[in-house]
Amino acid sequence: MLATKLRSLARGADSPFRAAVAGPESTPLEAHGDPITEADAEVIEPGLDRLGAHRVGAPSVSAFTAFLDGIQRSAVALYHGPVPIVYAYAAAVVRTRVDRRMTTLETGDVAGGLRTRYQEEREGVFFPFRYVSPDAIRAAGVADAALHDTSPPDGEPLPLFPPAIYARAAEAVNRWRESLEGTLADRWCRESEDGWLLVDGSLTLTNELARCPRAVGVVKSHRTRFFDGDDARTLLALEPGERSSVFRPGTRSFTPVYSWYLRLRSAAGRDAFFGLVRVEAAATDETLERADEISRWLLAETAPLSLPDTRWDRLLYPIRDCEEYLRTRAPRL
Amino acid sequence: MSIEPIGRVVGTERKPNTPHEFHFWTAPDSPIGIGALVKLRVDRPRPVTVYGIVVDGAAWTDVESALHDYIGMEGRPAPDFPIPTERPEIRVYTAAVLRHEPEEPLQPVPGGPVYLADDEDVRVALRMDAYAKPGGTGIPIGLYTAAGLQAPVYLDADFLLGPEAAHLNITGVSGLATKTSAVLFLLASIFEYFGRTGASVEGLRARGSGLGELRAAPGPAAPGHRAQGSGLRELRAASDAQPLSPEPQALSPDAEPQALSPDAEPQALSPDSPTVAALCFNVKGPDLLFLDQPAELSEEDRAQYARLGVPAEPFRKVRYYAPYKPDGFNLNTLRTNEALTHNVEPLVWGLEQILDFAEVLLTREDVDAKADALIEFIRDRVVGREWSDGTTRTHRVRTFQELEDWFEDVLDVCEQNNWQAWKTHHVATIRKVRNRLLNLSTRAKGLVSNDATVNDLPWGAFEDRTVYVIDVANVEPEAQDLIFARVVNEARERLERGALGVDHLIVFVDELNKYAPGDGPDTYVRKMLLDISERGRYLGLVLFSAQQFRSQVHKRVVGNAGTAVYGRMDMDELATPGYATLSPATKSKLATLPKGELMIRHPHFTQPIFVRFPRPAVLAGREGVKRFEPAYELPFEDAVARHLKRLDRSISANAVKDLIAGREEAEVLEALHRTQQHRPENVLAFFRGCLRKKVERETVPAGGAPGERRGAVELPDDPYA
Repeated sequence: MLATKLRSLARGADSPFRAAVAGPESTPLEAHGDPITEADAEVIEPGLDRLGAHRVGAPSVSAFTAFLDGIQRSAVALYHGPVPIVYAYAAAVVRTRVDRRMTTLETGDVAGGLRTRYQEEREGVFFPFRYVSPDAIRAAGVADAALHDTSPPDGEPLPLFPPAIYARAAEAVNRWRESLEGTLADRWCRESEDGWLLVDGSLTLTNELARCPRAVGVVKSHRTRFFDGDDARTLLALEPGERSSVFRPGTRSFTPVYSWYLRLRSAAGRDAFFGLVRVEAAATDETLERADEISRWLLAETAPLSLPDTRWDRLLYPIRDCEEYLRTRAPRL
Repeated sequence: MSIEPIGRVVGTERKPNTPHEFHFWTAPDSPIGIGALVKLRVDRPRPVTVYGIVVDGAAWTDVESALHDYIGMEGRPAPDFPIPTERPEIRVYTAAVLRHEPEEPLQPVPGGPVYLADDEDVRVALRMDAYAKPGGTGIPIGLYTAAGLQAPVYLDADFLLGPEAAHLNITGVSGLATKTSAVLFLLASIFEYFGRTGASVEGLRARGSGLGELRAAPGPAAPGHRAQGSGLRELRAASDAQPLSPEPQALSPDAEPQALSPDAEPQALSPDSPTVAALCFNVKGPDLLFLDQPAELSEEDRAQYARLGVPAEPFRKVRYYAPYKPDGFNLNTLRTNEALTHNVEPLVWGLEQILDFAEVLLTREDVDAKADALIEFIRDRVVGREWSDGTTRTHRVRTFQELEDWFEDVLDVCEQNNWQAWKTHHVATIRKVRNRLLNLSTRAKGLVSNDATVNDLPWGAFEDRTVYVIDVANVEPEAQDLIFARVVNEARERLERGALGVDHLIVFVDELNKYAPGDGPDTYVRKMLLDISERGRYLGLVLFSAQQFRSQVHKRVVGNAGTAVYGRMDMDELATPGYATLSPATKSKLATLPKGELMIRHPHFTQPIFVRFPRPAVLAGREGVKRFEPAYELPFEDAVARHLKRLDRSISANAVKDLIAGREEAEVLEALHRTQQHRPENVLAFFRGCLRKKVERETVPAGGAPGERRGAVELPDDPYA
């Protein structure tokens, strides 16, 4: 709907907007990903001062009952002169597993209509208000809530340089999507009474999630380097079914979490990160005690395979289910 | 309409919906299956209801390649590691459109929720709402069953028994009792509903008044049945006054029933109601020999009968006919147990009956143009008339014996006068025709009598709702052909004249692969079947035919059958072009159909429908011969006694044996046949009168009888001297 409204702005010969023409030369917004960073890490596994490898045992019956993931779609819908106006769609969902089948989590009195569905969807328009007046977009009937300013904080310069505008838009869309995920995560943490939540990505979406004792995050991408030298050799040499020692990432000092690496599949003959995920859980003693057990649950979640997804070596099947579910609802851009 | 939808119509670029087909997905645990009826209803962009029948289905998961699953399972079909999540599986079904409402404009099926059909939906989807209603022409054929639904499916009598269309053809593999069972159930259904459609005796039965009792009431032929109709009314009135059932079914006079149902108001036959009888040829073992004996039915069967409003009872009026064995006195049938012979009659024909059908027994080599001309001459001018032209004496030819005398006379005249031709017919032709015709009685011995004896079907007095069974199972193939040809021809001629006794006659012929094959010689029987198929519906002559391989039956026979029924089919048969319109899934279902399930094509149904029908309420042939063991090969005296006892049960077997002791078999048989033919009131006296007067044997004491003078020497061993 929103995309249609935006396109209507480009009608008319005297319109300052031009509809974006999709083509192979178009710059994909997703290309502006997270940069590679470094961070400190403190090994906190009792009795260890450096990273070790620990065999966790055979996969065991998983205690995860809920799974959280989100997706985003964005594309340049219009150009106002050289300034791109980005249309974005973001959605998040908590899926639950009942009798081994995945379905969207609903709570509350379903029969009475007072049910809570763990699903959020949003459409938005991202552009620097500094260069394009939001009134010009409002003219198409776009609600204020859907308008997102990608201008830097007051005083900071924003060059009229399209790659920089794209980067700011991509960053804003990411945060926007994470906020949806965080909303659902907090709700689950507040309302759920049993079961475990498996989150795609870091637990540090919100403070409440980071503290939740029954939430586990699985980070598939390794854009932050925590270890080097022998520690790096240890974690990169983990065998299938082995985890690293638990450590505290130095990136999140506000609400700390505990983390460890887990090798889901053999990387023999492949990239060192093949089948390697980083697990996050609340920074509690219980996490230290249950690191092996949680790892065994995660190993169990590797079946069935997530093929044909290119990240199948690290993408756990229920998380893939969340993505697939959201993709079916997402607009085609 | 079920409250919750069970799926949703989805059209994709690869599988778009069209006006005649649509696709919908369901959950894997949905009760949908091949043959299920579904309904789509949408209000926008315009209100449309579309009914469809599921003809195909596909299921898939999110796994793109079998290799992916293999890798995921570590190559183990049942891995010992936990698999917490089941892959989502989608079921997409293809449904063929049965009906659009409104019919115009005919557009592609829109997307929307899909529901399982309920009773009313089934009625509308199959267009039964036009005829399956009180006063309509619905004949129950079975129950559409899906997801716990048991909806009656009705055929339109106008399209089953004529005049709009007619005939039914049923095909299926042997050994599953599907074909015969289906036809027997349908006959019971026709007898119950035809002419009083809307009538269901179920309401009466629920009150404890059985139709069987009504049917058992003696009564003459068709009027008798109508009298039964009156009885129904009376009984209903009585039962209304005093309900017998603890839960009487409502028969509200205010209600206006729209659909046939077991709860519908029973309607009796009126004097104007059309009459119908069935004529069945028993061509295999004891298949049709116990139609008047009850079967043991399961509760499920009885429930189905109740749902269909058909009484779970055997046929009340059944008459059996069978030729004699070559011995001339034992009937050539397995229904010879003494307890069952009361309605078994011999089928005996004479010259007049079969001369018109001589072609059936004579091959083309036998009957060239010259021979044919002579046969025609004999048929038109000799048989049944007085003939003295060109013979030494006057002949009246009515039997084969008399025909032989006539031939002898003609040939004698030719010989004495040294003629090479007689009345333009060459002597050689006359000799040839004589040999062939006189040989007929030998070739169909047991069926054809040399004398004037005839015992035939009750032509002109066929009774309403009666089954006539002719047992030809053990008869020579040529005689089978002869029986079939003559009986059907006679029925057709009489129906044309309105002189059969009933308005409609259903002829059931099994083994159509044998009698009307698509290839092979053009036999008389096949011509007859073609004729019935093409013209029968105008006459009320309806062919119910059955075979194993529909593809091998003459196309015009099966093509003219308005209703086609399919039981379990052979895959080879299903691979023939005649089944090309069926989907692979429908074919698979047909190849594995259980007993009691059929696929129906009917003019009102735009797609074939699967139905279940109850087991016939009649004793199966195999069980019948166990329970009623046939009396094989009775001695002559016993056989005669039994035939006479059948006419009069008070006759003593010993009395008959005493009467025929020492007499020639031929004489006794002639007397028996005459008695059977005349059906006198005093059977034994009539039989005695037919026997030649017997000179009592006297034993002469040595030296002659005392005080009695004899003029000549008496030969005590020869009573006719």
